[in-house]
Amino acid sequence: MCLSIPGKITAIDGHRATIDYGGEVREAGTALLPDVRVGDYVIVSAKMIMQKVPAAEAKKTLQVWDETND
Amino acid sequence: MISATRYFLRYAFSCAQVLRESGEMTQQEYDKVADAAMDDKELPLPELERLFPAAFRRLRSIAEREGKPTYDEQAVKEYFPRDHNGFIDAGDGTYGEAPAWFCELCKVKRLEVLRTKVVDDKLFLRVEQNRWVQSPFFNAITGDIVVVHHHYAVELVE
Repeated sequence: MCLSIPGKITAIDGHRATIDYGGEVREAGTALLPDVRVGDYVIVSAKMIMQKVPAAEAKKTLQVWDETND
Repeated sequence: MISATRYFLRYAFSCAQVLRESGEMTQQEYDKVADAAMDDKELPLPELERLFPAAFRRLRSIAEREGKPTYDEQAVKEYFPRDHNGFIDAGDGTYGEAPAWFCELCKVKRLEVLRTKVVDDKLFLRVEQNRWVQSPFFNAITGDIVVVHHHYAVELVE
């Protein structure tokens, strides 16, 4: 899930990360990008973290998403 | 040889995830698209037209520009590898408001496989420093050139 919406990593436990999508929390694997850190914004597909998104761009995306869905 | 609609679906499948997340496609429709793409099955052209209206609107505009009454099978096959990026660069439709990182993700690109990894029996390919794609349709090795769309490798360049 969440190919179009970046989520923020709030916790990492081993090879699993907890990712917050504006209140909705999901888990994803970190095996592909093991250097991700808490606070990073990421894109998840196939239950794996596939890509890091620069924080500024991610925040802008989430702002637009929130406005669209108000 | 793969049919035009199956070829189109391989590329369009990753768009379906975005359409589902934005509410433009139901979960049931998404599951149908995903099953067809992964199992390499046909979805009838009218159904593809209904599920991916933006792509077919663009196909109609290409046909009009070329003085044709409508698009043909070859145009459907060539849409993603030939025409898709141009519409993104032009800011067509939702691309006009989408952030730059997302537009780049939507572009069809030929990229070199930098590394491979199998996780839970799925093959993943590293194609950029911080970007991996899944390769559900073919095996690839480091050094191969693949065509990617979103987080999927769609074609292996011979």
